[in-house]
Amino acid sequence: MTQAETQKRASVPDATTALASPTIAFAMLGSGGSGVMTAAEILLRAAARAGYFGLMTKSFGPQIRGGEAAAFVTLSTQPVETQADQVDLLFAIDWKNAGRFAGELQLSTDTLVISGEAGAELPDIATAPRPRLEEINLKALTRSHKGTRPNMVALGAVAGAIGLPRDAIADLVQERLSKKGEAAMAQGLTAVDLGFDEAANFALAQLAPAPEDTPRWIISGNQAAGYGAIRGGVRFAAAYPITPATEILEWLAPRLQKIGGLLVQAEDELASINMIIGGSFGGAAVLTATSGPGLALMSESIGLAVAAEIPLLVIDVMRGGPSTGIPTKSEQSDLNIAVYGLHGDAPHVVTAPNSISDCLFTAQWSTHLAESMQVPAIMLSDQSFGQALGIVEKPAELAFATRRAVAEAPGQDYQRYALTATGVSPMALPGTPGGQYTADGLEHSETGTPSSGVADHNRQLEKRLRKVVDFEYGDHWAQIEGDGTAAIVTWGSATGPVRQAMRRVDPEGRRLRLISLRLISPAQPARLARALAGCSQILVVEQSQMAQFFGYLKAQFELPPMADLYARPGPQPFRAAEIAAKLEEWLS
Amino acid sequence: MTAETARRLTARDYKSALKPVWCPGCGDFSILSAITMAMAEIARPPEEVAVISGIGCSSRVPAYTNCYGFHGVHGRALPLATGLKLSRPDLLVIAAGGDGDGYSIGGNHFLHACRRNVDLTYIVMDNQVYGMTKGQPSPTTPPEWDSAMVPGGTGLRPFHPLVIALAAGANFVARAFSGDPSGTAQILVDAIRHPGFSLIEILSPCVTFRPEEREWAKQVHPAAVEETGDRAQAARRVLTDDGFNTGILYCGDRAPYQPAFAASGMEPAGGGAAGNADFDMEFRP
Amino acid sequence: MSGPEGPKRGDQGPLAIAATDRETLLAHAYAIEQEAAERYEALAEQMYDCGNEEVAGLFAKLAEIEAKHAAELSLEHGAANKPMALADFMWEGLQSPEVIPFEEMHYLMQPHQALTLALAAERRALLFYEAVAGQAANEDMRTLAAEFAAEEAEHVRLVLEWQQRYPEPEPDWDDDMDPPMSL
Repeated sequence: MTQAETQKRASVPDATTALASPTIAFAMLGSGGSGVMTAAEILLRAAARAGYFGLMTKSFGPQIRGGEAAAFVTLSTQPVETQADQVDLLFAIDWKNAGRFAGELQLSTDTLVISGEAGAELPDIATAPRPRLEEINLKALTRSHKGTRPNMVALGAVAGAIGLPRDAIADLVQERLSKKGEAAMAQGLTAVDLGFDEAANFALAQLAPAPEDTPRWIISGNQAAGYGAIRGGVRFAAAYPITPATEILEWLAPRLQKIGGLLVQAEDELASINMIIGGSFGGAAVLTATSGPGLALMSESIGLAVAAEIPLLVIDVMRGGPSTGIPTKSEQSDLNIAVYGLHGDAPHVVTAPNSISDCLFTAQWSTHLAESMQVPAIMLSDQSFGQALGIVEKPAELAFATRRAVAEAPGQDYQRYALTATGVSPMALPGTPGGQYTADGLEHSETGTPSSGVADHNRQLEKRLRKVVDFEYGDHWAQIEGDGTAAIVTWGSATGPVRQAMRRVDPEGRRLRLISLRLISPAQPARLARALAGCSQILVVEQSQMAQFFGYLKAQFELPPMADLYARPGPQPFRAAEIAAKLEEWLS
Repeated sequence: MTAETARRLTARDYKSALKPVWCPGCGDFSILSAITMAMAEIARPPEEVAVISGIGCSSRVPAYTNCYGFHGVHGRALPLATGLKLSRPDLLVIAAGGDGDGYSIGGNHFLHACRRNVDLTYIVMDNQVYGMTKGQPSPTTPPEWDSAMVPGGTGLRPFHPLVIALAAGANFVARAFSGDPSGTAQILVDAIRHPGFSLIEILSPCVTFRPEEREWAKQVHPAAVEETGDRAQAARRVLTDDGFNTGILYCGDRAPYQPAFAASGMEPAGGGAAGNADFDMEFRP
Repeated sequence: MSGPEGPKRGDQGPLAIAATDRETLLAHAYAIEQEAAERYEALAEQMYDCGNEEVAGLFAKLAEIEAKHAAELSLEHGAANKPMALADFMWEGLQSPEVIPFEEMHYLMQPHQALTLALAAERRALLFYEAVAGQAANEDMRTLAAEFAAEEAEHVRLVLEWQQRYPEPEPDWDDDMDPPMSL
């Protein structure tokens, strides 16, 4: 008798587990080619159609093909900010190398584990937490039903177990298989039904009814960032592939083409950044997307864009560093290079989205900032946004009054780098008669003529700083929630877990206050001071070993000395439970 | 533009009032002169021309023209020019710089610019030395040339830009000499008119750090053969010549890389563009 | 295409010049003076920038003289009136014969050397007009070309005289105790 069978007998479903739950998390495991990712994505989509919120993240082995893969999905009637602390259901199509997900996969005695491999030896990660164990003999089932696939049976079983409507699943399976013909579609449905039938044998909490039907989107942080940039007006992009930013490029390339724009694959990051500088000099709104190593390569030329006052957007989808680090896992450790990585006194803009859908807003806003101030903007997204797929509320359609200051009819006395009240000088675009000037990385006078004089250097430095410091950023500089006297100051992808933890620790929202900075640089010390007014406790939360954000706050803001810190590196993502535990300890 | 207005443009119209920083005797003066002569011959109004450079003595050239210019960072003139041309196909885009800028720090871009074959004209003023930093060997410096930074010479085989350009796919390859500004200007005219990526390697003596290069005037000679459209033949010729024959060496017929770019570069960017209904649809579950 | 021994050297063989009308020849004469003036101005600026004020002043003076010639030509003959494309000029290449090649410059050069270059430039102009006169299509053209040639011959004489006032440079004229600067 296998372990699964032993425990199966021991686990008798009781009535309480069949109650409705507002949030359900599941994971699907399988070796490469088993189709777990497709199955999990169909489940996510079906949940979205049914009106739920959700989040799907993926974990892979180091192989390009054939390695063990895991999909983690949390579905809820409420917006999902982060993966649940532990999964309610784990479906393993097979168990090859499943041990590599130790640390990511949190099970408990409440978890239902379904093994799709009859009589398999289960790894420690599946047995040690003593979950309920069940088995579906996928091989036998698919063998006895021609053309059915194990992942489709698994999909049906998971849907049935957590209470997703069969119709939504059936529609999606048919859409997915429509290209393969009628027979394949029928076989797909058979497989799904087999799964549903098997699931009827297991009791699990079912998802509570979906909230009122508001429009949902399924989108990844990388797609959202790309779309936000398009909404901001970006039409020209150049980039070099790098994990985990590549999906931005692959999403953008065909879509830019559709709207008359262009993405060029460059020979390296030095070329990408200079290509977009060229495009922006010509008048296009531009972007490149990369990750830490690529940003390091680009930093010299971002300095050029500061000096020559060329607007551009650089999206850095952060990953574990330094060096090649952990390309497929997230970390908030590029803050220093984004803020301080340029040579010389080089004022520029650094922004950070605080959720998957905020990647859209922040990319659009960053383009607006770059264009309005003629300055490079670096947006710090990260892998946990970029490569995660979220079911979110349809993002609002916003329009900024973005308009690059352009010299339409430059006269005799045209000066490209004129000292204006705002510090922003109208740019003559090539082709405009009378506006000819040479954009220069050399320090220059107002006309653009190279100058090493004291006065020119001081005036141009002052102008370039003033235009970004004096700009009216409005309320977008930070996300502020609650008005308790204990403030948590955080940024980027740490925001979601913090928010979720706050709901647990302070469900009535009386004690805590969230301040998540969207505008990292230029620093807004006065605004933060106002946001912190009345606080007796401050906790800074970030995913960086060296606490780069905390260091930045201490250096550039008036952070009271009592401010506490919770910082740790990746690759382990923050979970609400971890932050909540920290908050309890901190508040007591 | 009418023929009448075209006629009125002279080399003078393409010169700015800015004084070059070059040493008297530098070949770059003549090349600047040749560039402005070629522009006058091409007769595009100066505002429709952009001259893009990196860093080095010769990279100072954009500001000496009356065109739009970009004096960027060391080695990156070609990608910057590529980005400009791809997003503004209406402009005439010229990249210019020296041997260190183009063949050393910018070497990778050189390969890929040849390969990509965007309609650019790339002028390399090759003086076989780093002049702006006071005389260090460049990729084209002879191996035995002694210098403070590399005493006794590099001992390295010089880079052969023309053969490399041919192998990498450049569509027009020529060698010129600064001491012959007229000939240089004529080659430039042909290069600019030829579609795709054109490399014009111009021998340009550095009278300060390589005074012996004043002798080049006696060594250069027009190529004894006509240009060819046969890449292999052109490569054989430049590999076996003495390095001093000038003229158009290769003239190919590769179609330039110019994907459609309809978003008008003349429209000011931004505008708080609204969402796109098709893209919105993609995200509906 | 032309080789390095273009018109600037002044030692090319007889030019194939077919000046068919007065206006075209005048346009050439004007271009010769005007371009020479511009070049001298550029050379004067170079020398000023390097602190060689004596030679700078000399080139500035030459620029002034050439500009005056150009103005006279324009005034007397309306020579600046005919717009010409660069390639339509009859000299080999695109550059007029009376300009001093930039490559001949040295920042420490002395007046004697500067005038040697000016002399060569005047001689190239002289050769040009002689060639035009020799191949002129009619008497009127021959007369005009010969007139210009005579003027250039006079310039050659004047520059020679001028040059005599300056000593030939010492052998170590180009020694510089200071190293070059980096930018």
